[in-house]
Amino acid sequence: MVTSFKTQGITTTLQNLVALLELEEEDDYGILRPNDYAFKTAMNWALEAHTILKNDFPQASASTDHLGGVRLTWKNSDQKLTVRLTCPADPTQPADLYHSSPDDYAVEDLTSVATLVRWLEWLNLA
Amino acid sequence: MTFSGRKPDRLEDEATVYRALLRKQWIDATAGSVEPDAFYLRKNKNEIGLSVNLATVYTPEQCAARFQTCYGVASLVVGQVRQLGLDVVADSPSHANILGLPYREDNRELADRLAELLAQQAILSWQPKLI
Repeated sequence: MVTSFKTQGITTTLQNLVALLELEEEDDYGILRPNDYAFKTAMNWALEAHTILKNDFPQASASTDHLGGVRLTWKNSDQKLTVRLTCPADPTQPADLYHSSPDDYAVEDLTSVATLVRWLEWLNLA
Repeated sequence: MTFSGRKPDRLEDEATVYRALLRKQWIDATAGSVEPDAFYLRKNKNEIGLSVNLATVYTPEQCAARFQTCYGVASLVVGQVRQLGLDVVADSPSHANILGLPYREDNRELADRLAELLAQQAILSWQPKLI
């Protein structure tokens, strides 16, 4: 049961990401459909992390900010842990990773897949 | 800040406000909860605060009806919002803003944290009925 769930992690994440491309370009709040840069950045980080984590890659929800950037969010609801990858629409801005527990939180620039992998393992092992 | 030519009453800590959820992705349908995405300020719109409606004036349905598309309504208790170091200030008899949030462009760490904490406080009070 658990293995089956984990195997679906990357599949569900990619499905959630691709579903963003089918949204209207804009809504009353702002840009709704991700721009190409943000989408590809998010896709690449997810795929790179999956090559290392394989079946331990947890499933993420996907959303867009009001500027066309992409957010991938992983949650461990039992432990109230969150890892959130933000890929801005602006290519001059770095992707970053927010991670939080009930007692601590931080954001760091994402420059290496090792950082993403480390925090997803933290989420999995809690 | 004044409206209708008089100083507004201070919102009581026990007051409830409604935040319209304008995007489907602001709702975790599986958990029945509100996502942090609903609680970021838009710097490109020069937003000073997050727009909320007062529960003393509107029902959640009435709050939703003020928007062309609304996927749900979240309720927040003013006193709990204040415990995060934020404030909720009325700018009309029916509307208020949650003040004190940074733009993510200026302070991404605090913006992410406060969005997360507001989402944890928020209760999904209304969703349109599925047809």
